[in-house]
Amino acid sequence: MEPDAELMLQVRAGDTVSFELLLARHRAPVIGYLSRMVRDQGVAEELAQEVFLRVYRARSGYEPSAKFTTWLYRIATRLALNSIRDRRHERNSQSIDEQSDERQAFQPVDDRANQEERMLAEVRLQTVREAISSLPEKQRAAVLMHKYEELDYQQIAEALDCSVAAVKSLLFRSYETLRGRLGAISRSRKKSGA
Amino acid sequence: MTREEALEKIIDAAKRPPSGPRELREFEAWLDGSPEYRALYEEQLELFSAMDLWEPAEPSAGFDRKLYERLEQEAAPGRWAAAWLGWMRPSFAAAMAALALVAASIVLDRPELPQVAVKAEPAAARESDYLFEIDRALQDLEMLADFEELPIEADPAGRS
Repeated sequence: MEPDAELMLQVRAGDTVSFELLLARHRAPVIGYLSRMVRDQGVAEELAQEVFLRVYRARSGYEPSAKFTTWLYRIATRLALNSIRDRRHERNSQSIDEQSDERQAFQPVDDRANQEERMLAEVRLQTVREAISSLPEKQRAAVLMHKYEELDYQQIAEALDCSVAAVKSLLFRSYETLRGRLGAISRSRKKSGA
Repeated sequence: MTREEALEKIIDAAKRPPSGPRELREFEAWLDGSPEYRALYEEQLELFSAMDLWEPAEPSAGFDRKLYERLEQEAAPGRWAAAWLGWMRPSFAAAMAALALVAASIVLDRPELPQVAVKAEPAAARESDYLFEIDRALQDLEMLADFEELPIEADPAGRS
């Protein structure tokens, strides 16, 4: 049995330390996934709280029939998709705020060459974020789980409640779109030797 | 090999390069057989490299504290009742008050009350009892209002 499932069974038996271990192991990846999904750190943390609350609430009925990570990302994905749909009408105004927030995090340095390099990196990063964020929600979720969370096709299929063939199709289309959108960045990175 | 299978092979290899030298040689030989797939593989490598620029957000320092507070709140059943009553209170209080007034006005205005009940008590005593009931209902509502004073949930703005 996988270690996470063993921990979850101990949580089911009333062991709170095992829940702390699960939280320590999955807190950062889940928040990372959700923040990339919803593009808002505050909302991502609220959703992550809800994910772990649901895991804790479901402890008494937990059966290790699926991989724990799959179950966790299934909950996270559902919450993220619902949140995105709920906040859809606010998206335009929020994206402006996010851009300004993200730019505030950039610290200018005295050295002009470094400053230009960092500004270029910031523009590239912004382009990557925008390209991924502009994917349809299900494609975005599939790409984020595949690229950043290291989930395999089967796990992504279970998290998105679709077939493995559908996941592959989603991923191939998403990566094709991203290759097109980020091609310019990749070429500019090559030229600058980054 | 279908195009979908080739795409899967390319994406998998770009994500995690073939581990052994033999697997790597075989993969390179396969790419050498198709300039299109070679170009796709290189583009996919560049894409993943660009995507690596987007680092994950770090959890805030108060994340665990807030989560455990919420878990504790759920564990205390009194809190659930307080939250429920807190949510119910405005509409519940208004409904109860309206119900009490309507009931009192109907009962007091009805001359055709059962004679047995009317005879058993003088009209003044009945009216006094009804007023007492209304007063007690209002006192109950005031008691419910106290639940609103309870801290139902941590302030969401308290997240650090």
